[in-house]
Amino acid sequence: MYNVKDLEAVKKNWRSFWNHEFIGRPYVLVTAPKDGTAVEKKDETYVKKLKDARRGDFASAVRDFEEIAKATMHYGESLPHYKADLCPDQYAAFYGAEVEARDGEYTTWIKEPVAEELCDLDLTFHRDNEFFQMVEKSVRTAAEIANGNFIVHVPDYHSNLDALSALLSPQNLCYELMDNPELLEEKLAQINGDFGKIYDIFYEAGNMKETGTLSWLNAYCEDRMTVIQCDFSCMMSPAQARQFVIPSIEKELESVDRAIYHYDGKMALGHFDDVMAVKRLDCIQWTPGAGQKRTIYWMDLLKKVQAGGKSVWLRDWTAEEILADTELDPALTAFTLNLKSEREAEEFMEKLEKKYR
Amino acid sequence: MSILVEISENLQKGKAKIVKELVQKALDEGISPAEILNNGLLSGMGVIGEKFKNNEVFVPEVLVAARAMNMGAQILKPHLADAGVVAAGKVCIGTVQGDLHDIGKNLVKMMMEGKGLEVVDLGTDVSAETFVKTAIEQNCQVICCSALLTTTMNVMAEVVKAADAAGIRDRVKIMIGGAPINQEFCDLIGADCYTVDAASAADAAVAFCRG
Repeated sequence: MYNVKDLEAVKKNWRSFWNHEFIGRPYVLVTAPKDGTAVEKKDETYVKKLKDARRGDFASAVRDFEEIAKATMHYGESLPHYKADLCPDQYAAFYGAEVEARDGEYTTWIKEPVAEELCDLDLTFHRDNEFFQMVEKSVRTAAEIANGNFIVHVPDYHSNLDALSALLSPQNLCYELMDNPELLEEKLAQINGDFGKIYDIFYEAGNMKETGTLSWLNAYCEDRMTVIQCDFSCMMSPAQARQFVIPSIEKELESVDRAIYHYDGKMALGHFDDVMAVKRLDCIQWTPGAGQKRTIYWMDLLKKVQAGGKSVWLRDWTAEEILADTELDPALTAFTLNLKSEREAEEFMEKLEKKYR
Repeated sequence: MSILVEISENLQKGKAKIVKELVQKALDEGISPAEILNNGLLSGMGVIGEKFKNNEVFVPEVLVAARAMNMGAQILKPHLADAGVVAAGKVCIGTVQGDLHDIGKNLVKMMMEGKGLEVVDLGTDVSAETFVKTAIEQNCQVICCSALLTTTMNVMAEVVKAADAAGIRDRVKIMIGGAPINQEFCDLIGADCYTVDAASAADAAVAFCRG
């Protein structure tokens, strides 16, 4: 595997992470540019990837990534990983949403809602859906090129209510939630029921039984793992979240062994206790949201997550902040960190290990 | 219970069909359109707005209440015009260029309509020039810009610059909002107002329109 010193040791640490064990320091996923390498900046936008894919070119983006991977060193629990996703709202695209890629933009958009009303949505999953086949091809091609040198992500789905929101528009989904809660439960059960089937297909396409699974957060697991979310929940009342969001998450998690919850936005905090009560969630990645203070300023919340027996996943702390004294339990904390040079990364790792020795 | 209280309460529950029927009934009973608007529809939306600010109701409840208000307002509209009732002010609103999210913008629009403002909805992906051109052509007192993405929020600075260049800042206020926006950003780009939620945005717009 590209620029990973001891893969077996990394895997061992990941087993400890999922078992909430202390490895002598917090879990850290550190990357730094490899000395003496300079990679030309690549266009890694969804727009470029999707346009390539639509032309039948699934390899260019992987080759571009491979150049970057060869020039990136990994420390701690970090592993080289490729994101084969073609847009944020993939799950909606699997059910017929049309995805638009506009030049000059990073992200892609759902062109327009597929229907205005839930009753008009056909939520039968067809494996021959064009977008699904493109993502499957993207994953499969990446896994073939990877050949054990890097790992292909488990796709980021934006499933459950987020998918319905993309298919109907958030506003129409709000109306349905109030007007037709029973139909909403029925339709949600339908798409949530497909989650495992879809996961299995990508698990096979990405050769994940061999490689293990790696999420877009860069978390790794030898078993079946995913990152799950429901951004739509930030608009809902706690009672609505209990009725629609929590059962969706629980249903989806039946298909995996390990899971991280991408908890996005201050407005979704009303559901904190309910999210914490989902037993199959091992870790919470708290994202305060744009315009909010960084996660280091949410210490009470982070401690509450750990007190509830779940790990915290943190992506926005500096090296100095990680090395300073925190009240977080290192056995239940994972940080991702990009540093500027091999030397800086090695020094950081040394200081971190010394601090907890 | 008076029919106006009934209108207000059913509106708060999002019962659009009942609100529509009650507005018609109130008109038939000879209640003035202005009274139905102010003490029935706008009063109901006012309650919802306050509850939303206090986290007692959430986005879905606000949306169905606003939908009920719009249904009632449709019945009332020709009668209001006949009675010479004018809007509390005029606002143009849109999500800035490069951003196609619209729920926040729609929520603010509905809250503003719930305060009796006339709102010109420019939709999503709106350029700085379109905001300013609309404000001039339609004589709006307020421009409202929404953004959900950190990558698009800077378009709001372009709106401020375009309004400066057009020389309309003395008569048109620029309000900004959306998840990545805060007061610091508002001050930085020189916009006139940032509010944390849709209900507060509607209050601020009304205050600007009143001068």
